Amino acid sequence: MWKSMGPLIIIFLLTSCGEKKSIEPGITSRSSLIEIKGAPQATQKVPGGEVLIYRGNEKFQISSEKVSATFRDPTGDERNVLYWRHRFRDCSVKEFPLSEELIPEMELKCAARGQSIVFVKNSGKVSRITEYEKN
Amino acid sequence: MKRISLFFLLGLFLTSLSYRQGEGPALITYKKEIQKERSLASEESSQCMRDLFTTQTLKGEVKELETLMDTNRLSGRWKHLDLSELPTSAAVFLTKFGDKLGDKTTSESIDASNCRDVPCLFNTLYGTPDGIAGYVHYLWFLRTGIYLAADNVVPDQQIQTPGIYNGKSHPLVSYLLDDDELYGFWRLSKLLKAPYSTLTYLKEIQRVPRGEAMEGKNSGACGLANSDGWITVSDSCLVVYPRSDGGYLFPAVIHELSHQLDFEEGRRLNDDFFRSHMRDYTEMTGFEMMEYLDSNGLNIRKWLLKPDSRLVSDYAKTSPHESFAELLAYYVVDGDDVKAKVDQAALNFAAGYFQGKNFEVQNQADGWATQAGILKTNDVLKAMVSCSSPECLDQSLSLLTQEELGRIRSLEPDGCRVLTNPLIAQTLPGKIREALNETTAKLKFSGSENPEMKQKLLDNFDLVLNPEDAYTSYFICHSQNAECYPREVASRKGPKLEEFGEAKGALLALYLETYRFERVQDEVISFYKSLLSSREGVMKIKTDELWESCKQIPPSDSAPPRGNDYVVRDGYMVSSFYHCLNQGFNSGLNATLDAVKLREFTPKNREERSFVLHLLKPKFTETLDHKLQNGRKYELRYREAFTTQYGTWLYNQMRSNRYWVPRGRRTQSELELACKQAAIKHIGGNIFFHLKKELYEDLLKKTCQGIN
Repeated sequence: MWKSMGPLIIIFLLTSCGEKKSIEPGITSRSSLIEIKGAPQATQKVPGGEVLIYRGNEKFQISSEKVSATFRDPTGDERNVLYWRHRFRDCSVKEFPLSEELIPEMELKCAARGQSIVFVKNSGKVSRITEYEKN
Repeated sequence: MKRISLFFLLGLFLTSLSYRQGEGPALITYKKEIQKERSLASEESSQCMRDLFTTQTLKGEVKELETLMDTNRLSGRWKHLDLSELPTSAAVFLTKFGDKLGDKTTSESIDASNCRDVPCLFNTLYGTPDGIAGYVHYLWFLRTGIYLAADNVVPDQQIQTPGIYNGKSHPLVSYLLDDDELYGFWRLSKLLKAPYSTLTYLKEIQRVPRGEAMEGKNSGACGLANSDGWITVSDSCLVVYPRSDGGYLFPAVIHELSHQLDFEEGRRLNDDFFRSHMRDYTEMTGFEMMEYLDSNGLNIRKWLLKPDSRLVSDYAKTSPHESFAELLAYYVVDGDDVKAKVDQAALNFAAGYFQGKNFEVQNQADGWATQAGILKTNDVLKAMVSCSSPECLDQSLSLLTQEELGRIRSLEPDGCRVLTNPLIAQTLPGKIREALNETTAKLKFSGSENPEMKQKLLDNFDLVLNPEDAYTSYFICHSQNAECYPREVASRKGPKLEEFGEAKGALLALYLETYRFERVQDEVISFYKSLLSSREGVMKIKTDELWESCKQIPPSDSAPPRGNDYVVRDGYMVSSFYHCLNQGFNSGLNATLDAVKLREFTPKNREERSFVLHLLKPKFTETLDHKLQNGRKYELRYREAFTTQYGTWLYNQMRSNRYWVPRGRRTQSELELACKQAAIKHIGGNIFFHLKKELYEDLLKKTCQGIN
């Protein structure tokens, strides 16, 4: 009997995965975020809103009760700036320094995708990924 | 007797690294000879290190280090010098940095045709034949692999002309170090061990012209560290008070070197760019990143510090990377002050970069006393064998105590500074003597005086100190925690010392003290760096092979770039090429190592091979970076040639043959976009290192602008 139920179980699992809710800047509300992610570990007041901080250094900026931006660490190939240069190659990207420091952190921004990465100049390494409302 | 003892250890250590053909792998070749003279005079117990800052002392140090690193002679010439006649390290220095020396406004400004060695070249620039300057500059290179610059080009100067800084013209002499500054760098070169002495990416330390502030920076800045491999320093970061071994040069230069260490650790651990930005460090120091998008959509990132954080200085509070550099700098320079200001976790963290060493005054003194008890084991044993009365032994131990005090004053960079503390000066001799007494007690086997055993030990002392087990243990433990090395040494050396009965413990302690981890690390890395530098030609051939094989693959961006053995630090690379480089990286690295077929060099075991590969990797990467830069330049030249030759043709072609025009109504910008998309297909040549549409952006714009 269990053998014959195999396909059903697989379909059920796939359906479950498919129902995983995503968090979209500009759309997802604070309450939906909390419904999906649970209560934050900490919160931080920022100009014009608040940032909810979750495990794994994942952050969600809330402005006017909506998620306006997300911040997370890169994983795997995402750590490589070249990966993003390829991903953004059809985008009109902007690259600019984020600080006045000698070795400035840079931002590579693709407004059409609503994504940007933070990296250290000449390092090839990405330190942060930001997502925001698409233009 | 007392002189031989110190040199016995020093000589064994140094000569153990030198190669004799046919005696096996260089690093484990053991030489029984004991050199007969000392390199540094420590007879005068009242002399401090600064009193030994003479050309004679420095010459001796250069000779020792050149001998140590004389692995494989280079061929070729540097100006009038035949490289094959020079020690390897001198030839490597000239090959890497020789062309940087001096006044770069004119290549013929200094006549160094009479020089036959590296110090002479520097001294010619200083105008002081056989002065100390040349030896200090060269010793800095020998101990760290870094060029302590003597030229008039500051790496980030705003106007590219050599000798121009802050908009003014400066003579070469204003870029050179004065005697106090030279003493500071010499002392620092003896104070700092690995990992400071083995930084891989740092290439150069450059003084900005005397009297000038750092160009383009706020007036308070006197030192800058850049991840492109350089440090610049100005006057206020170079203050030295030689009589007290004080001055801001020490914390300032260590601070900048610590930034470099922070970059390198970040790269090595492959986590964040800075070691100090990793979670464990920010949590320990109380830093937290505040990040948000402001009302203009700009990404704002600011470090916040918890109010109760305990950091070493106000400047340390500005960011984790500044706190890292400040902590390590002051940990070395003022250990007692740091202890009072930071938590134990931070002290432990800092100690990790100094092999657990503690720089508090009392701890340094206690450490020297303990060390004396261990390092003088052989002398104590000799005294025990030769003395037949307790008075004789007592006298010998008193003599050894004085000798050790002399060594601490003259050879320990902090010796005289610590001994200015009256309490330390008063108590240290007693503590050294106590340690020697303990060693005497340990060497009395099973309570019975056993002359045969003592003589046997004396006769075999050089075998007891055979460095092979230390090196093997180092190769195994170089990237592991601090407990690994002593444990590994004990497991390898311990059984070989069984025959000496109860003296085994004392001998193992002596062995570990003689071959301290940082000392083995310094020597091993210097040796291999010199060896690998002398074989850079081989690496070039192997990277050429890899590079050319990847160029045979037609450029394609159909798959995302994969792999992180080789990372493109900046700019674009087509993914097929990137993928190919990463696939071939490790085999290329191994092929390079296999091709380094020096008569003396074969890694003895897997651990040694893995260690050398680990050292080779940054060089291999750097060579690929260089090829990438050249590849980009070639593509830029190709673009210029194409634009000149076919630019007008393309312009006319797009207007005469209008197959590309989209159907239906279209805006001007849609028309221009379609034109660009079609025009780019007419541009031939394989582009590997630029995004094609960006490389030809100007040409495409000119071709399609205003088209209708």
